[in-house]
Amino acid sequence: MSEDNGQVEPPFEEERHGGKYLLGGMAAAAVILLTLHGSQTVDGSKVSGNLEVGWWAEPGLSPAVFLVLTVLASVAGFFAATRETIDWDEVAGEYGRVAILSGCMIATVFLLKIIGFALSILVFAAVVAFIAGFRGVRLVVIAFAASASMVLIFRVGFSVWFPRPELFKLIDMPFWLQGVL
Amino acid sequence: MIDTIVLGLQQLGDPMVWIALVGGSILGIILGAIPGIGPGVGIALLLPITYSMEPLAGITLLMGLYAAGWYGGAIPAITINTPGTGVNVLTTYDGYPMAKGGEPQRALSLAYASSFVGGVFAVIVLMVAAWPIASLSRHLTSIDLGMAALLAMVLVVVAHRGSELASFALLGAGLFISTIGLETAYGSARYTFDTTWMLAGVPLIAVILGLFAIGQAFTLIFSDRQIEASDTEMKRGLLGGFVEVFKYPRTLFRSAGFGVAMGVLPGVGEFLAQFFAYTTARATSKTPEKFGKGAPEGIIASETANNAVPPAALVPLLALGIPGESFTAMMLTVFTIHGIDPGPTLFQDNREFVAGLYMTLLAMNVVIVLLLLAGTRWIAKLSSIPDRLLGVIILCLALVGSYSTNYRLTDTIIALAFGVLGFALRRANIPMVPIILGLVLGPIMERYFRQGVGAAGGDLSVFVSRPISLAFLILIVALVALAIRNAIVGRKRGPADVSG
Repeated sequence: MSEDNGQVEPPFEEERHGGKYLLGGMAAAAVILLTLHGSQTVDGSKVSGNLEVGWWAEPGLSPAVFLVLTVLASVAGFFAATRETIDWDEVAGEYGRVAILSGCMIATVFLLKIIGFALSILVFAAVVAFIAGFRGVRLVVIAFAASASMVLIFRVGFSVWFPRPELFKLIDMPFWLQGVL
Repeated sequence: MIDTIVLGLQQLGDPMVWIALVGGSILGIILGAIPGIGPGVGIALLLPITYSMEPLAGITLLMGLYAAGWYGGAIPAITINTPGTGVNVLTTYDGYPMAKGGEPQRALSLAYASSFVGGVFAVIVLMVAAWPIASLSRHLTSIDLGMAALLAMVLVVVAHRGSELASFALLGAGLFISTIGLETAYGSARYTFDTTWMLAGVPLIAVILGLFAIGQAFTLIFSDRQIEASDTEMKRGLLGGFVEVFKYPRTLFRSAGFGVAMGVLPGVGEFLAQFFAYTTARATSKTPEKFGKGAPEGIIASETANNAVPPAALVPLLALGIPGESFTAMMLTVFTIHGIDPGPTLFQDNREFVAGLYMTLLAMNVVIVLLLLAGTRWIAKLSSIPDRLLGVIILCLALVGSYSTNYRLTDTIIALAFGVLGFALRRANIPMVPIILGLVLGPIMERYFRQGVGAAGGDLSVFVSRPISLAFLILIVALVALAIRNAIVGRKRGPADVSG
């Protein structure tokens, strides 16, 4: 189980939060997916040109079994768990920040195609560092260091390709530099 | 055996293997030495890169991270009483008191030497045991192998005591997610919602990056934890432990044995290995009263046991193609990408790879120890890096990793969705291993069961007509019954926080 087993007794034990609701959410999602089973799996006889296939080869069998397992275990877990007192304002704050970070990541993927790898990472690192609480000179240093490191690791070190950004079509820049930035 | 060693040494001639070996070891030590990070994040981040490497170099990089992480985790455990990873918890019991007593070098040296002996011992066991087990597995039918995969998953779930129901739910979710996409036997789409990008299924790399890296980054970015740097004066003298450990041969080799046994068993791993090794060492010691106050046997027991696990965990992966925990599950994806089929044929079709792997694992332990001997003074300072800064760095790496694998926005979105799930699971202290194992083992199990039941014309008695599958079935039923009983007993005593 490796490191994950450490979660049974982690070095920085914190209170458990939201497990009951997480399991409840999983159960609800699994039930919804089960109701869609008929439309989201096509039976073997249809896909194989009306050839007779056994029940064991029906494409919908495994998803149904696994979803039923998820529903049973998560419902049991939900009812077996203790009632939790949740500070919903705190939870909303935390997940709100997670949502903002997620939005930044998605926006950065779009930015990659417009301003290029190095600048996108610079902007992304600056925003994330700001959300993490860094300000002033530290924020600037972290953003530039992160961008430079990413360029060195991925563009120079591993030669990872990225699409040519729109910005570079407007600027006269050496080809090798375009490949790095 | 000598042929294998010679063949393996030839594979070490590849400079890429050495780059992966040293690079993975350095990264593993660093990630292990920073409390709260661990090698899992590094493996998740580097997994996409390994897909473009030669298989031996790719696996070496991941194994370097995996093994070196546990070595590095001992440093903050000893110097600042804060284990670098969950598997170094028991090292704090005697390592820190010994360091506080003015012998930090002795404690670190004992930890390095014990880890080295545990690691090398387990590699030797791997070399000796994997091939015979693989040979035996040739006599297994599809049903036997499917049941072995199922048993591995059930063992992992049951190992998470106190979270069995949540683990079962996550296992089910992982298994379900593995079925999404174009089903290969009949070419039918399952839960693709009429989209083309989902036909290829949920990308495992995005799931791993999300759960392990992005979820961890979210947690770290909002952390207020700040660990003071160690003020322990590091002088010379880190070699003494390599002689001293052999003054306790029983503790040393018994702990290595625990590590190997727990590593081979799916779902058990380092945590229980060090626990069993430590408690046994204390129970059999002539001076049990010294445990917890700086006993060398305490350090030897926990560090030998946890470092014997990574090579031993490769035994079921190489011999049967069945990973027993999340890191070897991630490694299985590297095998799959390169068309290497773990199991009995691996030892015939890819002899060079297997021999090379054995030798790199042995070399790895030497390289890690040399790196630690040279760099402990600086590595000890790493624990003071603020969590929030680590979170920023990991998120940047995860962003690039998730997008650059297929250059699809959807991969990044999937990684983010699993990142949020990983964050929520960490907050709820629910293990993530079951979902990964479900994802990796789901298709394997489905394929074996389809083949086996199909060959029997749909006759379900095939599960009980062969002794091996029957034995596996009995074990699975017993383990599930045990898990349910534990959940009910736990509920009666006082309901568990999450899942009974």
